[in-house]
Amino acid sequence: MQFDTRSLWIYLHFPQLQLDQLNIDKDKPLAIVDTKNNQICQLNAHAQQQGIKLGMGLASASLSCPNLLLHEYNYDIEEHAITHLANALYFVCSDIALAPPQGIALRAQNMLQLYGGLSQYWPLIKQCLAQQQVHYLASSAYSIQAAKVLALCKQSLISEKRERIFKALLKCDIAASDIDPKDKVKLLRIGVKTISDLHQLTSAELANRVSRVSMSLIHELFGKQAAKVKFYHPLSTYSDYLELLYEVHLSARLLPVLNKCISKFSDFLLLRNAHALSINITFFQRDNEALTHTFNSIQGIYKTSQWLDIIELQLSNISFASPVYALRIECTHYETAQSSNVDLFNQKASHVAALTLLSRLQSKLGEQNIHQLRFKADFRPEQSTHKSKFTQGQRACNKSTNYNNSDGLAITSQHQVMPTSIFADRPGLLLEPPEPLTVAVQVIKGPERIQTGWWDNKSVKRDYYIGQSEDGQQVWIFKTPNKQWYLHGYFV
Amino acid sequence: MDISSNQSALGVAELVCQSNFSFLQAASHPEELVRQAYFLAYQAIAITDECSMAGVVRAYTEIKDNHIPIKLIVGSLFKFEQQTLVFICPNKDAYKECCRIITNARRRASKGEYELSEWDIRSLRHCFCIWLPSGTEHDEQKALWLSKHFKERLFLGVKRWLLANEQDYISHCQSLSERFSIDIVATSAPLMHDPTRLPLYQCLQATYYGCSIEQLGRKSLSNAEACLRPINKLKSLYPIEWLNNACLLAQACHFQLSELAYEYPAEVVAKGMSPTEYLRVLVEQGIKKRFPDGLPLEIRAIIEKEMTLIREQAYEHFFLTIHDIVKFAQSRNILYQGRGSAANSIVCYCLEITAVDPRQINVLFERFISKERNEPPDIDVDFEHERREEVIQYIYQKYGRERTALAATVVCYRFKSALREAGKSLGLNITDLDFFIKNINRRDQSLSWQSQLSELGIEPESSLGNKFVHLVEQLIGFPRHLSQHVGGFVISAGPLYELVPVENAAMPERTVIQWDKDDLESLQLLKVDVLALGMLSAIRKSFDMLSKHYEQDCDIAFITALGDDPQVYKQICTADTVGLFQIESRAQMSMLPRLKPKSYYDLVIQIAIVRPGPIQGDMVHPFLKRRDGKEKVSYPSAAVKRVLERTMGVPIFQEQVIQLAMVAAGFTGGEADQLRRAMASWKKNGELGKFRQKLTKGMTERGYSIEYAERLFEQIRGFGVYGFPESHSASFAVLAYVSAWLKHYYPAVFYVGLLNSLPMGFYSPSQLVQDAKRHHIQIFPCCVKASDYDHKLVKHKGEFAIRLGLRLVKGLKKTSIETLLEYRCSNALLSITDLRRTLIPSPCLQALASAGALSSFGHDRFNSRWQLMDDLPNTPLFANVAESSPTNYVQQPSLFDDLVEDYASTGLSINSHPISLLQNAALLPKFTLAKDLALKSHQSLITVIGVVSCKQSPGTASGVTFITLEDHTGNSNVLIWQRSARAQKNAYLNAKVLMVKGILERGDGGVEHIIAGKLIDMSHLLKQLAINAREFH
Repeated sequence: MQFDTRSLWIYLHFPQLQLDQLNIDKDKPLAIVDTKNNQICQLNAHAQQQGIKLGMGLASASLSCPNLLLHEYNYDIEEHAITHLANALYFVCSDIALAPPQGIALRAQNMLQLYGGLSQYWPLIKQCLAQQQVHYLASSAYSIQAAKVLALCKQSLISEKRERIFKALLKCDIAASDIDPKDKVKLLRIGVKTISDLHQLTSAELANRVSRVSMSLIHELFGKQAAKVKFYHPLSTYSDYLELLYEVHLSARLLPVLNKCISKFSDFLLLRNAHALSINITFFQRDNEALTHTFNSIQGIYKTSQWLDIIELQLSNISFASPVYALRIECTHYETAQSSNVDLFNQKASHVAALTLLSRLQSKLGEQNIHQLRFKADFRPEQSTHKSKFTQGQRACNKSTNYNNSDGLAITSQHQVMPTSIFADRPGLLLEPPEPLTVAVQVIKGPERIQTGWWDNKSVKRDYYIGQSEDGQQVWIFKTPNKQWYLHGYFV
Repeated sequence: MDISSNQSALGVAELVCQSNFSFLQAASHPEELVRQAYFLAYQAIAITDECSMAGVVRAYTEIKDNHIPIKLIVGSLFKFEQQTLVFICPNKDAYKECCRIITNARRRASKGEYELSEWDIRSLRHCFCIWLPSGTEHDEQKALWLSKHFKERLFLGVKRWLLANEQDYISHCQSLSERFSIDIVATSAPLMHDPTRLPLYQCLQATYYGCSIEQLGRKSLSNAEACLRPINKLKSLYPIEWLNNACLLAQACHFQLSELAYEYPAEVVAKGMSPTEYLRVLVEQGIKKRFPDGLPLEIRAIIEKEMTLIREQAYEHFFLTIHDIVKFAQSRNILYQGRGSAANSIVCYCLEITAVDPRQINVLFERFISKERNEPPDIDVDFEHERREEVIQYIYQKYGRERTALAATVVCYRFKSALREAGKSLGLNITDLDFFIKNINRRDQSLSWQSQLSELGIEPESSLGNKFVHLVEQLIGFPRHLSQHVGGFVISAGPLYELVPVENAAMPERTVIQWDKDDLESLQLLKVDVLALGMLSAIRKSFDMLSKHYEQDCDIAFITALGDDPQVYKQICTADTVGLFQIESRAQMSMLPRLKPKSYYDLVIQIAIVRPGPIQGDMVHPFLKRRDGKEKVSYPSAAVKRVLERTMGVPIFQEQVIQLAMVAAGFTGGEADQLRRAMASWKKNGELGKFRQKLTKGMTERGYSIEYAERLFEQIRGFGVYGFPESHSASFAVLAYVSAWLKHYYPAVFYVGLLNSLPMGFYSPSQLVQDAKRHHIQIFPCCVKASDYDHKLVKHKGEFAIRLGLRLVKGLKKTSIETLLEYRCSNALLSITDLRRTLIPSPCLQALASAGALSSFGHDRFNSRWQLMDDLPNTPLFANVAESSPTNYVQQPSLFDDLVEDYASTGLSINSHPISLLQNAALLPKFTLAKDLALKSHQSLITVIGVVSCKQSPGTASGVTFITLEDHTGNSNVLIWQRSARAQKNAYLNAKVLMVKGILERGDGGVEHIIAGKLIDMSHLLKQLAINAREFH
């Protein structure tokens, strides 16, 4: 917590932050809908041209513009984006206070000397924001609250002159302030609509009529009281997101871009005297799910060239279903360089931990070749087991709102059935694909009818039997509706 | 029971079978199950829904209506301690105890759940128990326990669904059977009537588990064997002995639902008299009251005819029960009005169930009750909506909760819910589904919803689209859960739970039986409808005021006895009907000047004709033409003439359509009854379609043209959704007339009565107050010194004016108003300090200030509220400090602020209107005010501006939207064609203040409409007005 009363602040408000994060065709009418009240909360220019307005109901919006692309509002996306913006702004401002999900306050005061005044400093911030390609409203004032009100009321005033700022502030609506909503309603009901109206009332009179929290905010607004500020500190983990200038389909073409990214990452490690064992690179594909690949090193490394060697080796094995338009490089664990100094004998005696083994196997064989067998609650024999990638802990869930995906994981894991109960009457070895039955078999048990899977076009209609071949081998066979027999497995 | 099986096949009986009334657990209608069982030549089928008797009645009705030769066994399935137990009823005693344990289990748990106890099972003395073992180690213990209690009435049900490890399960069951000497009966335990229902079953299961079908995994079925299977297949799956055992058990069950005899409550009949004698006594008493000048002979003859019919049908108790209820209402001065098929009888008039004087309306009782049609009598009684609860409590008190419960309403999947659930089960995105639902226009007759789906991105021909469409189609009409009927009570002589299971309703202290009104009809059980009607509250309040202020005692019968008043009808014909009962909607108002009702029966027709049914069936125009003598009235036959003569050859009432089906298409009484039910539930299950062929075939065979038959079917379809019976229209017309009479002779009384009974009807308080002002009634605002809780009449310059009541103030609690009124009785209320002494919570006082109710203290509303917001005087230390001098609060409300605050605080403004403010601020272009429309000529180009107060897009108006624009002088009626609306949809959808440029059309009877050309959204001007007001200060 830090306090400040006299500093000049610049408040940045990002009114359509989620919309700005969307990497889809922006030439189409596009809107974000808040599902709590089913109202449009963000929209692009094309949607505006079609008559869509903020606060419009979902039904009216759909009727006004049938080809409107709708996305659900997601607080997490904006919160993540605001952190990302803070990271970018950290290079030009040391004191940043976050006001998620759509606001950032920069303490400009102590940067002015460094940059030679506001007229030199503000262009730098603008430049930084331009690189981020976000829409924003900005204003400066001598309290965060005042700067915020000015920004939200679209005053766009970047100035150090107190009088000018104050004059502009008086014109603003109280609706833009953080005064307690209940108190705002009370004030509106007595005709207090603007900051100017509010300013005409004495503090003593107001104090008997509104809550303490609101009074504090009103004092902050007029610079009479210090605001409590929690400054932002960059995260200790590394995360960099980069949109490509053009889409890339071939993995080899990505190397120059990766060179740049890894060099930034290398600087990050160097500054911290650290090295890393693994990094995740997410390749965002235009028409497919993002593909995340983990690149591991047996030893902790930090040099760009070393990482690039590893990446180059494995990158050639990665193929993309559709062009890649963006990359994200993440490193959640790194350690200081000294920690690698281990005793020669210790090193010799230590066993290779499972994760290290995995890391080595993945490095040597490629991640795609390391699998784990998992069970799936499905009656169809072919679908009842599936190979899944071996992950070090649960990867961050895909935050897609798709019903299928969001619930799929939960259900599957919740109903992970013990193999013994599933496979009481199932063979130890399953043939894939089933083979036509060519030998004489005597039926011992059955039938078990499996007639399901109509929903995913892998429907199955079979009568399964347990049989015994002439040589005594118990086999799992099935008959299809057109009376064809197949061998599907052997019992141990 | 000892079943001695022999080895020759006896046939197949299915004793464990669930229908879709085991909500989300099975995928076939009970009707489908019995039809399929008959098709497969089963001897018997039991419907054993889970802790429910809701489905079995449907199966019974299907068998009865279609004379299906199959035995229906009644039973229910229960899950108890991980075991499945099915109880089937061999006799009526068994049925009674089964209903009792269902009731117990349901009443113990919250709505939709059940909780069976060991005691329930032990109390069963007659039911057969079929136990389906769980296949676990607990089975042995359970076998011991069940054998002990059920002895020879216990059977072991074994199902073969061709599952994995099934052989082990069967061996386990056989071993139990041998060890405990329990006979095994074969069952398929069907959940579907046909294997093709598997996808739908899985869709329902996915809904039950709240996941998609793919995620169901092994919780679902692995195949479609849980269905009714052909006999040959069953013989190959089960030992013949097990199948025979099932047959023998079915043969031992003799109970049929037709045995259920409804026993009427005895207390409605006076001691020492038979029901017929007592009814006769009451009717004779009523005759003396209703016909003080002597009973005309022809009416006596009708009464005798009605009494004979009532005796023959044994309906005395029904009439007596309703008489008892209305007598209670009379004793409490609660206004009521009976309606329905039997309500318009002279017997009902004499019993004071209805106020429709038979001398005024030549309606024959037989027209409503027909022995041939076998319909139960229908009497719905509407009570004042604010006081219906008193009547309900009376019924509970008189007959006891054991003997009284509400009928159920089966809530079924409709298009939207079916689309949502089917989509979710296929894993479609919920936002997409919402998008489909919002964008599919079901009224678009040119494009089916399936085709519209393709426009929205799902191709019905694709694999996914095909499955989706198919699931939605199947799911529509499936029951989802039971809800409570609006007011249909079933009252019985003995405990109701021995007749039908009773369960908890969502409302606390309410119980609901498991059957709906159709089921009750099927079983010939009677229900009494106790309904709520807002207009009756308004009329009773108006009568009270007439008595108080005009010393005139009025009741409905008094007004109807005065006869048709031309003055009242004159006002109705000018469509001055805002607030009247039934004839107040835009559609009704636009028809009134054309139909020109002049008598009571004209009103009966008016109410029934302006409905989507007759409109959809294109009956309105022929009727108008024939009535005006522009078209000849002709009848295709004498039989048709008898049915349609009173409505000039045009079928207008639901009864006429049914009668037509009988006389013109040869429907039997039973078939006509089925048609009537299908019409009522057409939207739910679309069963009407099956009558099409029968109707057209029957009519063409009798010499009617195919076109006439097709048109009649279209009319039937229209009626199916919105049809209106004459018997109801006749009662509604009485209330419409009474409300019109009040409005004509005592408008101030009428508005106060209406305003004090809100919420009800079409209009908001604001619209009613505007209408009152147009009738030159002075309106006074809410005032803390002068207003009561309710709105009231006050004398002003020798005339009655209206003082708005404090009930209008939003955020003001009733208790606070009562405290205020109490304080005002004994203390002066001169200042805010006085007001504070009432100790009413500050937010309530502030609400009063914002409503302008404190203006009599000399401060504007901002200043008053500012003062009241000050917490300091409320603290003990400052409590007795005298009021400081009025503060120098600077904000003063502009006219616009006042308007905004009026609407925010009370929902209406007496002094200003947004349009007049905009006009005065010179923000509006030149336009025609509503009051000046009459001065404009037909077909002239005009511009109107107003607040959009009503927007209606009736399903029948083929894409036309009616918009009512309100300005400070009245309402303008705008008509917008679909094409105009589409082209200017932003203004059409979103404008609060709308400017319409169009053509004035003056139709028959002077009906004025503006046919919209250009629509311009002027809502932004309100913001401009706010800014202007701010800058002015």
